[in-house]
Amino acid sequence: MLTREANKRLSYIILVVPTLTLFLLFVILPILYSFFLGMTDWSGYGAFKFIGLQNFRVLFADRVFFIALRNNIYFILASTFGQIPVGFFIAYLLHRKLVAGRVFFESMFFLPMVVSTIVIAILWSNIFSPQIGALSVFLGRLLGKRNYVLPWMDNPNAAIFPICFVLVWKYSGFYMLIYLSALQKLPQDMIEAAAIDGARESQIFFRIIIPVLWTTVQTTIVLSISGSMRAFDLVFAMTRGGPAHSTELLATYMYNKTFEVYRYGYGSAISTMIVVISVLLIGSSMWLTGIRGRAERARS
Amino acid sequence: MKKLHLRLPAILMVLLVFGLPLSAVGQVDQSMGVKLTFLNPFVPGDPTNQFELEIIDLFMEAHPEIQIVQENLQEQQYHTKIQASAAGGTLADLVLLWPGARSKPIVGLGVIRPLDDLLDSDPAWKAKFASAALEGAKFNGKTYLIPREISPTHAMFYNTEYFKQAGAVFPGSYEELKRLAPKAKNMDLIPISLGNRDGWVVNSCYLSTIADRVTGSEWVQDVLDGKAAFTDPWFVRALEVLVDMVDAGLIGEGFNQLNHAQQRVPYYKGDAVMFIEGLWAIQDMIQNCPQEIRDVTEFGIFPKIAGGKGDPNAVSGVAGFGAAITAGVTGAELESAKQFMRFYYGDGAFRIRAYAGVGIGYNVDLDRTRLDPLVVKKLEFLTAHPFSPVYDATFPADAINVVNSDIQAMMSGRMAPGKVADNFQKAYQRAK
Repeated sequence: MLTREANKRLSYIILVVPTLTLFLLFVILPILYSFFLGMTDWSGYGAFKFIGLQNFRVLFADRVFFIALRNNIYFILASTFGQIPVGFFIAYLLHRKLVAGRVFFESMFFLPMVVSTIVIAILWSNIFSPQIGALSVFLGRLLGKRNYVLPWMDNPNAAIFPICFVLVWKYSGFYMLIYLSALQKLPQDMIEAAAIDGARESQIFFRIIIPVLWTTVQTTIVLSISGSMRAFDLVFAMTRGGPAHSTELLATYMYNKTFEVYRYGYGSAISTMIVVISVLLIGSSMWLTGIRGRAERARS
Repeated sequence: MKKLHLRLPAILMVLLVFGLPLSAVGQVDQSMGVKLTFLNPFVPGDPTNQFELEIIDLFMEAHPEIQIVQENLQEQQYHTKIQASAAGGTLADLVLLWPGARSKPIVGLGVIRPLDDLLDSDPAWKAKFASAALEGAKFNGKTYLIPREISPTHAMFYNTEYFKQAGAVFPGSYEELKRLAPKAKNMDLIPISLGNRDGWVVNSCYLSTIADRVTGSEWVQDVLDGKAAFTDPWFVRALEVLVDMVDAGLIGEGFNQLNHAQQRVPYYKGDAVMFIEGLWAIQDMIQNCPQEIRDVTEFGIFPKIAGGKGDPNAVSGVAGFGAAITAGVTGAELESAKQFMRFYYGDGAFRIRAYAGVGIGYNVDLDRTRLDPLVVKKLEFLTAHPFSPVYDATFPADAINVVNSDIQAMMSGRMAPGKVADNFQKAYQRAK
């Protein structure tokens, strides 16, 4: 019979190895293979040739890659400065019971999260559609014009913004939920004590609530960056990355190059870049948001 | 053994559970006959392809010894699956292929069986097919699929009532077409409703025909042979016509946000005079267009362009998709598969398709009173116009992808036609 220690270790191994094996086989290995494919010219069929870093050289001169990157950054900004504050604001309102009907509002704000992204994409692209969309017809009636077309939808630099709007609409509920549960862990006695001591609402907010919630904020920023870098389904269903690549994302561009045009090598190079950029951005965000923590530890 | 009286029933149960199915395996199903697998994109419940499933059922009723086991996938998934199966060597016995560049890689893998012997075995049957159908289905001179239809990708659906109100007739030249724009504007109508969000509408439905009017039909083969290039002034002229159409006010605004189905909506609502699309749109019109608009709808084609080398009566068109037999099918299964193909593309099947509105490229007598008037017009249209090549069925997908996005930018005034032609040529060189 084994010792207690050995027994414990054996239990850990038996419990972890199956999942770890699956994770390695179906997640890590394909990612590594994808890195490798990014250095070939494989078309999805037949043999391929190793071409080193040529795909990456072409990528860095590819105008569409940078348009996609720009759009992904807009998504990150919309998520970080749109979804998170909106989610937090609603959570704060509901937590502090500043409005009645908390359960109702919680459900309503979370509702877009449970609806399929494709359904949402069809809904909003029909609302925004020129001439026949609800918004266009409504504005057309208001302005007395038949077949009204919203001018900013045709502008390639602005076409991504309605999609950012839908993004904020859809995912704020998710962050609301995270912050609601985080707010419940607030030290009520500390807040009451501060109030008794004469602290204003804003002082309580910035000096007590924010520092307590800081790790949650850090986590939500990481989630929003990784989600934005991975974003695919909303844009794919709303605009397919068009018109003329103006709403292209890194993931939709990768999909287009891999599965629609059969350049698996180039598509794999794009997906490698998605991983690299995500790691850089998440690492930076954790370092930046960790500064506060480090500064406080240095002061104490 | 201890407690045998408890263990024995357990052992017997296990033997029973495993024994029964094992005993059945020994008996081969003689009654089942031949089984063929058929991978297709006909999703049950989808009205546009319901009749295909009915034809397959009819075949199985007529031939109870042959069983067709289908795998029905939605179209996008179908394309992914057929690629994966072809590369992995696990293709079904029967599949559906597209003519031209779409299924060329699959045929190129050598996994599909040519059908020339099947067609030649019954010359009377072969003669019923339109030449555009069988010619379009060939790769390297061999026939790999039998198309169920021939499909012009260009027709101008126009509202004759509005023409009457404007005191105009359908234009006979490009200049006359442009003069329609101010007339339509006066009537507060969109001259031509276009939805190019997905990029292929202008390529398939506008450019393929317009370019043919300007360059002539041999030019495409010249490009494929390397004797001509997209940078030739003739092709650039064709692109300029597209820009000209936008500048002349012929195209409705917001065309880059509508897709091919949404471009029909202003026409159905009576807000547009025309829309341009392939004749496949008829199936949607029959279901969704109000009767009063359908009654006054006619089809025209793009008028003659001054100085153009092409036949002003031609339209761009392709043979449609069709069934194919995979190379691994032999013996009794092959005979059954051939029987299936003979039925699936025989008189009865084509009649069902024609009554369902499919533009069959096959000569079979039909009861025209059973057909929707639009379908009758379509069948007449099919025989009245020779076909010219469709760009996205002829050139590699990568190059088409590039030119489609560039055309979107060009028609919004953000790229010059010369640059579009240049990019197209470069992308084509890379992708060859």
